[in-house]
Amino acid sequence: MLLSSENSSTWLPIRFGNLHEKNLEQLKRLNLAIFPIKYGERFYEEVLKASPGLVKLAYYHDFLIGAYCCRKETGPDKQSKIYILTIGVLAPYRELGVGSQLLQQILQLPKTDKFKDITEVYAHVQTSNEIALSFYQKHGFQIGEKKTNYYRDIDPPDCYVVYKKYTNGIEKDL
Amino acid sequence: MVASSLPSKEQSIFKNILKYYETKQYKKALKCAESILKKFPNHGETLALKGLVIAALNRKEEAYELVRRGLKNDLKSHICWHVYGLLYRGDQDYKEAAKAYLQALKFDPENIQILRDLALLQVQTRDYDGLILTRRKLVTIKPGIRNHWLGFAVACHLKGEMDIAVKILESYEGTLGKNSESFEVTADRRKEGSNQETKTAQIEEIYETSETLLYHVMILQEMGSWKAALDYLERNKEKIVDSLSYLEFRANLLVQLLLSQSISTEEFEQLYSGEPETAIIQLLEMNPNNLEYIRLYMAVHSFRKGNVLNNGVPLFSSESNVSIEACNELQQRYPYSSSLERLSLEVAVGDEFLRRVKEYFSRFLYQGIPSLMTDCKSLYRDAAKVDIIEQVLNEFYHEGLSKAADREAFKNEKAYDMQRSSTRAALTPDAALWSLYFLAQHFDMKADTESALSCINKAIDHTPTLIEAYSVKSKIFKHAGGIFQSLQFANEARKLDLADRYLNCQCIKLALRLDMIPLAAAWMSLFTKEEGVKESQNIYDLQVIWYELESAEAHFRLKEFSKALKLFKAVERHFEDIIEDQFDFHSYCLRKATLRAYVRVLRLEDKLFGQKYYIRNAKGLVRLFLEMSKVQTQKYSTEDHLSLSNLTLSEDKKGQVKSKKTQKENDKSNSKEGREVKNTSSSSSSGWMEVDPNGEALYANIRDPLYEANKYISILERYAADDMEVQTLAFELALKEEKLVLSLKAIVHMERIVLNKNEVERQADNDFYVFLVNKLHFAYFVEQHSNYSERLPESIVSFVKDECYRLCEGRTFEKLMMHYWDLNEESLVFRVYLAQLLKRLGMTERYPFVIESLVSRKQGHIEQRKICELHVALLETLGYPQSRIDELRSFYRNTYPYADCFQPTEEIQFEKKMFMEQQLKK
Repeated sequence: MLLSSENSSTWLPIRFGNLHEKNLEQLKRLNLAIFPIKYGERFYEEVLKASPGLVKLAYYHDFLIGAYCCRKETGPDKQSKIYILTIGVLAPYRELGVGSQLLQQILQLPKTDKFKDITEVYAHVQTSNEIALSFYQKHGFQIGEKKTNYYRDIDPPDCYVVYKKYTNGIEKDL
Repeated sequence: MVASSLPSKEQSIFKNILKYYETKQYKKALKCAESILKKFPNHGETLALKGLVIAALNRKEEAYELVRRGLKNDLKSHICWHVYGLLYRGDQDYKEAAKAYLQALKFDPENIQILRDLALLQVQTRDYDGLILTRRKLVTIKPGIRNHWLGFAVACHLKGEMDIAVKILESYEGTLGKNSESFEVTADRRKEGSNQETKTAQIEEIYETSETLLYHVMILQEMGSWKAALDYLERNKEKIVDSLSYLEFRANLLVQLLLSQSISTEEFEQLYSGEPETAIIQLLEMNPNNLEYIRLYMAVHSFRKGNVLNNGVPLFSSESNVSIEACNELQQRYPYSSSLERLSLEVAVGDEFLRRVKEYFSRFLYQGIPSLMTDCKSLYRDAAKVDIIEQVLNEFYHEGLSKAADREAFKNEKAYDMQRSSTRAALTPDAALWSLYFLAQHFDMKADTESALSCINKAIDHTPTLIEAYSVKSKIFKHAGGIFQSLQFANEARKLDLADRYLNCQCIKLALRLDMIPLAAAWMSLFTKEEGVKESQNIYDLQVIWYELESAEAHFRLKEFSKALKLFKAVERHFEDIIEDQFDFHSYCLRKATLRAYVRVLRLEDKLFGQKYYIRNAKGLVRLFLEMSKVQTQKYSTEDHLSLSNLTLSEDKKGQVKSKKTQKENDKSNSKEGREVKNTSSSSSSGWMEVDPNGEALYANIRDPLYEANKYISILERYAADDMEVQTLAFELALKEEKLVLSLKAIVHMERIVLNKNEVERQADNDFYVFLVNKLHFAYFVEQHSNYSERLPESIVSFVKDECYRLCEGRTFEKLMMHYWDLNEESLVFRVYLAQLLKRLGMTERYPFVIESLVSRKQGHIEQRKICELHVALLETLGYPQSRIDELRSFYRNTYPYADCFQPTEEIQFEKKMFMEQQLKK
């Protein structure tokens, strides 16, 4: 199993919620606190319209502590992919399995009817972000190409692509 | 009803009118009436009935006209009088209706229908003497009907004639055993056929009998006949089906009997050894969280321990009964009762308190329950407890932090193992957050704004998505006088969850406090989904009292008097509706025999106008009418008209009648457009708020504002006489009307309020200074009207003179003022109030030292913020140069850095405007 080193029984109990207009501001606050980049209105317009499953909020004791936002892409090769735009947890609530629970939600998606055409789940990770890299690796992602000067305002500006391949909703083993 | 003096053919048509009326076929009823009137145009009873039908078609004026004509033609017909009463009853004029019914009874004294209707009116108007007469008559005429007996008993009970009420119930119950079949309730139902119905009727009857018996117990209990009540309860145990009420009565009565010591302790032990405890435990087994039950236990415990209560008066709910010992006893039995845990905090002290408060708080902390501080407010009366709470919360905070730090350390060693720290704290990474959250509220409660803000800011940094934290921050600013900042943070909270009505309402309330009416309305419409007039009608229909009241006050501050009047009146109408709503219960509760609940409802309604929203609204109306009278006086004097005070009583009474008439005409013309609607004038097709939405017509119809003000003052005097504001308003009104005796009465009452306070209470508010300065005002008034006593009736002259002399301490206004000045000049409160008075009397130049002291002597005084606000406002109206005012503002800003009123005016005005525009754009 993926998470042999961790015991999911000690995970922080969370509840998943959906994003809508009424609670959009919560996601903005959350992202502002987690990420070094400020996401603009265009980003939030997109995630608000995303189909359910592509965006999920994680609640603990009735307040928001984490979230992920994804986009479904269809490349020039007609292949569908899920691109993880953001995934993050507020600092005091990290290392308690919240991120893993969020990521598992994403990794469930290709197994559902609606997303069974997905061939890959991928994300960009800043080259200096070792925690994130090991987090993805732990969940069976592979580290792919390095893109230089991917970021504009943060240092280092480079990132790796991390990815996981699927066929017919089943993960391809490494 | 049988019509007199008609041929038999018309007789039957006449009966048809009634039949059609009762089945609401008004058109047909009208036709019948007209066919009779063709032959007998002056037949009184037909005219009256036609009027009744017309009234049902909502043509009120015409209806009254017809019925009066009917009466003229047949003054001795009970039908005409009855119909006349029905019309008034339809218009909710119960006093007039009752008069008409009484007339009807003169000509048909045993008419059951009229007697029953009359009884309803009499209980609605609380005419208990009349009610008893009516009820007695009903029993005498038809003793076979259960409701007649119950109604008679209730009437006596309400009047306070408990013994008679009990006797009535006894004789009613006496007849039950023998021939209950003869009672109509049963008989009626038996007639009605099917088996199923008979069965339900039987079940209902069992319940109703049980309720009647419990009502009997209730009266005995209220009489203080505990023993008799207990005996009665035991005797009828089998017939009482409401077993919870049975147990509660029993426990209460046992405790009351024990504590009252109306029988000797030996005798009690002989009869009921150990039974009070058993009875209470029986209740607690069902619900160990019921505070009533716990308090009963405490009372017995305290009694058994030999704490005999003074005069043997049982002090049930008294905190002094609660002991930590008894709490421990009960907690051993019921370890999960949170009521017990909370109650024990009230009585525990020192280390015991520390231990318990820690335990209690930890549950809220680890489960993230935000309401802890609301729950614990009452503990803040005790300074020692406040210190312990602070200590406990700080400990929680540091513990939370160190747990987080531990985790961090493990992580860095890369040896972090979830198993190792799977303690409770490790699973609650929000412990630090909640400790900060509670600490912020704690400091806010202590009025330590700086610490409160520092804690809540840390909490927001910790978890910026916790909506409640923004609300707390908003509250902190609000308590520090920074309403505008408070609004901004309330809005932050609101934006985080736009679907939360509570957060929206918080914003609306603050916006109204800041007079941002359009913004408040825009936010309100987010939840009502209507706009403009429709919206205010919607709010009116939903009886959103807080909103209408806050809006009215805001409009009043902005001097938009007609709109303010409309909204104040709207609130008042809600209360009137609540009074009106009890009408249906007078008959319903008798029928269902739910008399205990019924009597409680009546008592609640009797106290309705003492409700704080009503009081606040009535005060608002009085202030509004006082302002209106000022405006009118100005208008009259500039137009060189008669001043209002010159109007004689009869003239302004005429004005009243006239305005009432125009009001009615308005109502009528409005409802004419509507189709057939119900008979009350208020339920015309367009709602009350939709007609005259800005209150202009309402405002124009107020001819004599002081007369209106007096109406509300007398209500306020009845329900909130010991409120200093009420007496101040009564005083103002009396002065305005130049009524010496009434102003004296208000001053004497103020004196009593102040004298009734102990030292601590006196320092907590400014009532003492309010009294002093009002007294000075009174002295001035007396001096100005030295010949007033000539106009007083002989019998009270000397009394009034003596009282005036006593209050003014035999001094002139000036001497009295100087006397008080010497005693109180150190108090900023006194100086501000006095300067206000001098300004009102136009005497600021005569006593410049008072005004001067407001500017020169401000150092070293940290007094209540409200007074400092008044101080600044006063300087502004006295026309001081801006620089002096700004200086004072910045001086106070040091003490109250967050309060709006000490910020530079222009800046804050500009910011407010920007904020409002920005929000409205969205």
